[in-house]
Amino acid sequence: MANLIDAIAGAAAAHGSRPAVWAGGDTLSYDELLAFAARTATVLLESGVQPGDRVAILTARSLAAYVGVVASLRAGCVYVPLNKRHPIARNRAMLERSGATALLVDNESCRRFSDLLREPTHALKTVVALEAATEPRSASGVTYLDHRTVSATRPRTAWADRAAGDDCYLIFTSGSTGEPKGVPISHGNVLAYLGGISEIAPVTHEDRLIQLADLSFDLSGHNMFLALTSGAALYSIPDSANLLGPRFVSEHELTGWCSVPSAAALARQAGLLDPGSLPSLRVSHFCGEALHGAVAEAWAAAAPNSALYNLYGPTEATIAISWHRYRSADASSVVPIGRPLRGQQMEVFGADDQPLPEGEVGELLLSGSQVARGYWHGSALDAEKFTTIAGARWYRTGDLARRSGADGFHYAGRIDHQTKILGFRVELLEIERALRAITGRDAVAVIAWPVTIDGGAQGTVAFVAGPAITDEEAALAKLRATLPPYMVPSRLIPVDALPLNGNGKTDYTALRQHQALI
Amino acid sequence: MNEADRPAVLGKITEIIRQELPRATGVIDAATTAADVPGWDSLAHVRIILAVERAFAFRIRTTEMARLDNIGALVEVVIARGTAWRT
Repeated sequence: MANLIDAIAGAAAAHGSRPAVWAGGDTLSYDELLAFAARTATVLLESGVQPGDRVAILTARSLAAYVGVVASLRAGCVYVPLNKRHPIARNRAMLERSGATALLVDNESCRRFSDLLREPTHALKTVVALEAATEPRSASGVTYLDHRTVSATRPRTAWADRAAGDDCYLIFTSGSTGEPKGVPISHGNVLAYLGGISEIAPVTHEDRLIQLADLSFDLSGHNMFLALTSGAALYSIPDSANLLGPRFVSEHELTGWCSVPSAAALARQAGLLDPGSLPSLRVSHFCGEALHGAVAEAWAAAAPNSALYNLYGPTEATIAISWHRYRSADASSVVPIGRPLRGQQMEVFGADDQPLPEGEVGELLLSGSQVARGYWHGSALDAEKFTTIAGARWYRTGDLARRSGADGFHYAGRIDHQTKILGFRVELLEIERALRAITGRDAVAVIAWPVTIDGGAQGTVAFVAGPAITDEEAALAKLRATLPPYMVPSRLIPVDALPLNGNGKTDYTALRQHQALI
Repeated sequence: MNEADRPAVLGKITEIIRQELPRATGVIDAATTAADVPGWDSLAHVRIILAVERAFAFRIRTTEMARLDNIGALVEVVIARGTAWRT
């Protein structure tokens, strides 16, 4: 199949009456999901949305979210996941930058983001409410279609064909320039990933897979698309139970897990990983940050019937590009990121773009059918991050790695200021830029803190040179209005001056040892 | 448990919250939400839920957690399903 929606429709045709998505105690069968999506897609197209347009989705991780994804794809459009946990300004920026012509919302988004709906972005023409709205909405220049309109619509039966090279989603990640950057992912990128990962750990229509990630985090595509293209059921965990994933697995006897390692580390910390407590799991995937052996071992003991895989890959390479099956011998170290999936290539290069021999640490570059064509309107960034070496196109990850024998590749840190906070990809320079704008101070530095014993980071702190900020809480409130919660520093620590290293640059190592953090 | 236990249940839950969140020095009543309490982040949420479960000897289902909009809702779940009282 050349596109993702045909793959989903194929699974629906074979497993129409089986549950497709569970959320909040409600379930949609495949027949119901496809019918709802077809009506929504019809409404979009009849309102003037064109195939290839971007359709933004601003919902909870509810049934509406998955209807929104399938409807966007059914209409031949590119879905753009926003996030209700992020500030209005950030969602507006993503809406603006994507040029989305339509926005799909649920009731909660209608209420919380009413300002966004009252003053829509330039390109936005249509807003569709996927749940029964509590009150009518209106916005100048925008067609507002409520749930009743969708329900009463007779769906089309013919749809625009999509090619492998057409985009299917546009996802925004933290950007070092101070603005989130968009990564368009094609149908072919996703199908290549699903093909590769299914060879490692196939999913069947009898599986029940957890959905922990919000749509705005590309890891959401792992279980969502594996389920919806195989006839399996996707179980979306309630927001309020996000850190109680193991319990959700037990309650619903789920068979497939996928999360960032931080979710397992926090579950272990909370005492939720008793040995043998997750017998229903048959496959567990971890991705998004370094997986430490102690966490993996605790998970393996809790889920004795599950194969456990460490996946690796940036958004630019579509969810994950490499895999390593965990074994007890990995328990005392960081689990390797392993070998590339079928059809993908990984190589460690030195500063001169020459491949390095086994054991040497250099930048990890990626190539193959999962690698995105570039950034959204990002030609300057494309030139920096995408390169051609010996006739092949490579993506520069900014990750350091080394190759080592049968285990394949090992992660060895970053070459820049990108980090992971609870598994979320964060450019610390983006936080610094926001902080400079708000405080008017040039000399600021942000570090990931605290760092857990498992090696991950749970948040950030900021150092500000000069007198203490007189109203720290007000400054933090302004940051909360522009940055996602996990990027907002917990503290603004005043220092006389930022420490400098031998090159005259900010000495981040010294800041990590600052007495205020001890 | 029954309706008459409601004030005592609220008192015990308040005690748990203050133990878990030392900065939670303000008034805590049925209308209090997580956003009202300093330090009540997602990890604290798990610690509080697990402590409430231990105190009242029952397990809150993940679907029930979605409806815990405020402390009052948590009290109601305990009244309906809590089976013991452990001090």
